[in-house]
Amino acid sequence: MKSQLILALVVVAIIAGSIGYFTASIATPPKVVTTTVTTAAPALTTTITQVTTVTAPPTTVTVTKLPEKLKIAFVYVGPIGDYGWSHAHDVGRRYIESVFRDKIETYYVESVEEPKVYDVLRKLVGEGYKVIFTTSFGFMDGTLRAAKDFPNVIFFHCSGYERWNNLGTYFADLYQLYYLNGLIAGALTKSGKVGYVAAHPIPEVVRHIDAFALGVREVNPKAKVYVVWIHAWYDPPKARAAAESLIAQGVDVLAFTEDSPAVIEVAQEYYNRGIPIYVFSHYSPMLKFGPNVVVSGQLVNWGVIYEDIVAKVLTGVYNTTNLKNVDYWWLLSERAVELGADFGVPINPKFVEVLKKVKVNEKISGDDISVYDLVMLRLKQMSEPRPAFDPFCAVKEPILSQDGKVLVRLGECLGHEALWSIMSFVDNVVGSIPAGSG
Amino acid sequence: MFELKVLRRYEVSTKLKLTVYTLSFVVGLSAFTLLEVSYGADLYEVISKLLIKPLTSYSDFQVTIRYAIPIGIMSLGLILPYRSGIYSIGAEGQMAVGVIFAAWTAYSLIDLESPYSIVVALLAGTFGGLLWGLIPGLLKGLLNVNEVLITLMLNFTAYSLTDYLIYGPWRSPKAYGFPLTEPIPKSFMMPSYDGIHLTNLIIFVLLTVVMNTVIKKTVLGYQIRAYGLNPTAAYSAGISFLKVALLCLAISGALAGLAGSLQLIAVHGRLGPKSWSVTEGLGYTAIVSAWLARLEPWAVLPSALLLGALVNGGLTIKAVLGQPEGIVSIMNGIILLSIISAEFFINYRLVIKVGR
Repeated sequence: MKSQLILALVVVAIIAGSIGYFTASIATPPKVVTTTVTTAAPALTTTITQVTTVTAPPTTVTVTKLPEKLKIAFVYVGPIGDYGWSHAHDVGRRYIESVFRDKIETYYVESVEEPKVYDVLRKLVGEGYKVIFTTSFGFMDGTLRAAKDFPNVIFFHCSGYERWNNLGTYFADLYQLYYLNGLIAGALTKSGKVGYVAAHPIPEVVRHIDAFALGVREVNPKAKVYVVWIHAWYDPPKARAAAESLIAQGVDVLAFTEDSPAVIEVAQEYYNRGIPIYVFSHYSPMLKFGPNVVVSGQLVNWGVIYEDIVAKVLTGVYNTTNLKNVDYWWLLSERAVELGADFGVPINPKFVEVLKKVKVNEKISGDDISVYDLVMLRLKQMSEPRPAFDPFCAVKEPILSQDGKVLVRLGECLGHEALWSIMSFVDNVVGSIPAGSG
Repeated sequence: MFELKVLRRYEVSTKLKLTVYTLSFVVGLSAFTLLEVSYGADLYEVISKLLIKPLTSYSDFQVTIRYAIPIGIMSLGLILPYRSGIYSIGAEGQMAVGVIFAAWTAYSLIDLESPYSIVVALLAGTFGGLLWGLIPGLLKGLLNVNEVLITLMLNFTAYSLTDYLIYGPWRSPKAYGFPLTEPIPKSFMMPSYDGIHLTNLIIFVLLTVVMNTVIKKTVLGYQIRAYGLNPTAAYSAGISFLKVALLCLAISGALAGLAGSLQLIAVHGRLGPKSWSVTEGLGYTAIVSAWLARLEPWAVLPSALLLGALVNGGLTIKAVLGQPEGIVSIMNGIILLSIISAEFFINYRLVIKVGR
């Protein structure tokens, strides 16, 4: 048939054309200086110290020497467009690039498979990067190995616990925000059932569920928090299914740990059908995905941590010998995290009136105040340089775990170490922590 | 009238092979060139970083063979079932079970002196992979169950088993609740020489020689090839299918288990935090490597090296040139596609008739 003949001719033409192009491109002499600026990567302002070798007399002349910029690289586990974890770190990277404009240059590598991180770090060190941030827990072993093999480079690993002379750790934790969200959830639930769509059963997530449940109980002592595990950090279909199963059980307020707005979309769909389900945004500003249903949420600001680290590296406070005990655990008081479904909007204005009407007894002063005022009071208390309140402090009564054991004794608080490894639920959580499944 | 006929070639000259391979290489490269040029990248830089440097620069080569060794060992194993017409894609899962067995020996025999400890761990890993290979072997040999499905599903079963262990009984109490196991004891860790795992490399080369002999010089090899060429004739000749299926899948499982235990004791040193953290999905890459070697054991040496170089070069163009992951996958696809289509043009002849 004719059409097939034409198709065959077109294919042959394409192949012939590309062969021609290739021969032409290899015939042209190779360029001396190659600047590769790609669209996906940030524009690299490479500091090229050109060394021109003059052939006649054996002298090496250094032509130009630009002022040295500190070369900083970021290694991400996901794509920067993931609308969650890696995206938030990249916002931080762009922030420090604007703060230290003339002093640093930054670069990032996205979607790095965790077991291959050491090989990527080797290559980055070979390219002359002096400070490297690795931003996934699974990068820990590879980063430690690289720190030992390349003692002249400063490494910072996010969310791990292994440190070395030239390897520090940092983390911005959201538990205070989950607690504040819990206060609001306790006020909004009519069924007395609050849901939580949870990622992996690790201490970080358990801590957030506990903080959320403590907030719920402070406002609504009878309400329970129902947990469903999806065993993934990013899995919109599973998150959606989990949210729907929780709603089917009578849950009317939802919080979650998952890097997509799937749960919010479910809530918005129910709202559109006349069933009000309220929800809290996670990690990135997600208000726009559910303007009628997102009440508040947790936001992170990695930029302030990066700014602090880079400033200290630039002034020589941090060097390749003294990071063994450098561990950032930054919270509200350091401005590393923020309450809200969008930056600058701690509570969706649509819900302010409702929350002002619900009265609750403030347990420290004993005064009756509105939930809105309670949230603002706690936010202010926890944002002070020395926080006057912490959800994991047992103020009026001990905090019990699910099995009835005392988790926090009266008058005591859980410290960083205990929170970092917490693996039990407080007593108003329904559900269990699976021991043997990912 | 336009007619296309595919005819089988019975005699293939070296000259023809050479021409077809050169042509397919040129076509593949041109396709990649088009892609890179449309992307606006510097072609010279890309090709040198992706294909040339991983094989020529010493420090880059260290990374290349870290991937090439497990890929190669598993490809050697996979050649057996493929030669007999059994399409196993279970190397990844057999590798994972090998990792579990090797780790289990290391945790339970902590006091064992090296170098025995290393040998014991490797044997245990090999045995684990063998067991995982026996399952599809039995099902295929006795019941003629579709091996593709079984081996694929067993990969996920092995992942789940790993997840169970790292989130459950093997979760290290020192890991702050993270899904990591304890590090493998020092005496079980394979030493490296200047960043190269020489022992692993020697094992790989030795296995290549052994597998080449098994396939070409032994009765078993003959029986395997017979089933691959004509199962009916092989069956009529009295060759036991159960024996062939069982041995092929068990041996390929054993080699995958060995590769897994090498990954554990030479590279990663513990399990977690992901189910695939030790295997890295290399069991799937090994399938490609086996076919790339055209199921010839000796050819696995270059094909595993090429795939190792591609993994490494892919990391380089991502980490150094800042190109997206997609470019790397496309490059791999183009290379494999051009080699496989070359195979087709060598074995078959296209006759085009134009006219009425």
